[in-house]
Amino acid sequence: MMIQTIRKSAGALAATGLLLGLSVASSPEGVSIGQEVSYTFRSAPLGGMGVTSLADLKGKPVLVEFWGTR
Amino acid sequence: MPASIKLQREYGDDVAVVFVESQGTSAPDTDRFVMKQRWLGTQAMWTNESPFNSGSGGLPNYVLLGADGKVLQKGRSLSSKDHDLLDAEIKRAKGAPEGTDKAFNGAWKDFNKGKYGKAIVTVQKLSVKKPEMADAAAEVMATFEARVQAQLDRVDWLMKNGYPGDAKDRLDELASGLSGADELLGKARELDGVLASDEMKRELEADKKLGRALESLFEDGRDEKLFDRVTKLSEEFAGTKVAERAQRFASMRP
Repeated sequence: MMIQTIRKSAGALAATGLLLGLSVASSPEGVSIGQEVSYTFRSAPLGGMGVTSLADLKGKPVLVEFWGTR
Repeated sequence: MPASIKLQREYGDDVAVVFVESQGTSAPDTDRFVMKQRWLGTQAMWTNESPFNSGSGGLPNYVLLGADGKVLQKGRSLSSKDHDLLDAEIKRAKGAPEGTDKAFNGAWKDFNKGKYGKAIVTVQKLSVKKPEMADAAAEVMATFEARVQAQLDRVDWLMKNGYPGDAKDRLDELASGLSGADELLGKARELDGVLASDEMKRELEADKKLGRALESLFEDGRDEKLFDRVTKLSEEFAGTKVAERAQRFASMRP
C-alpha cells in the first residue's frame, strides 16, 4: 500500500516536472559550484535562434543572469 | 544596459548569455520591456523560465556555467576574477575536454575550428591504427556526432520557425566543414534541399524584408512607424512562419 502511494507520488512529481520543464533538482540554497545543470525550455528563449535547452549550449561557457523588470 | 549584454558583444559567439526574468513578469511583458530598452539585436537570449534556482537572494544575480554544463561560479555581479575565469573557460572549451587521451588533441582542435569532417576522419583512422584505443575513439566520435547533430537540429528548428536566412547561413557554414563525414553531410544536404524548395522561397523573401525592418526596430524600439512596418509585413506574408515571427515583434509595441 505504502509502496503504491510512493509510486503514485513519484508519478505525479514526474508529470509535474514534465509540465514545468525539465530541470535538475536544486536545493533551496540553489545550485552549487561543480554541479551539472540541465533544463529544457517550454518556449524557446527570445533571441535564442533555435536554442531549446541548456544542453544545446554545451561546448561554450554560458552566463545565466537572473534579473527583474520592476 | 546590463553589463552582461556588453559582455556578450565583447565575447561574441564564444559565450552564450541567457537573461532570466525572475519577478514573475509574463513573457509578452518581458518581450515589450526588452524591446523598449533597446536590448534586442545581440546574441543574448531572453526568457522568463528559470532553468534552476541560483540560490542568490537579490536581483540581479548570475550563474556561470562551464562548457560542460557544470556550475563554475555564481554571485551577485561579475568581478574581474570572473572575467579571468571566463577567459580561461573559453580557452579550455576550444581544446580537448579534460581527461581526453592526447592522441585526440589534434582532432579536437580541428573540430573546434569547424573542420568537423577532418576531425571525424582522424578519429576513425586512429581507431583502425590503434585498436587498443577503439573504445576511447568511439567515445570521441559519439561526442563529435552528437554536437554536429545538435547543430543540424538547430538549423531544422530555424527553418521551421521563421528564420530561413539564418538557417541557410548556419547550414552553409556547417556543410563546408563536413567534407569526409558522409552521413552527416547527407543530412546537411537534405536540409539544404528543403531550403531550396519553392515553399521556402516566400519564407526567404519575407525573412529578408523582416530582417531589414528589425534592424531599424532594434535601434529604436519605440518608433510607431517601425512597428507599423513590421505589422504590414506580417499581413503581406500571412501564412508564413516569418509572418508569425513578425507578429510577435509587432506585439512588442510599447
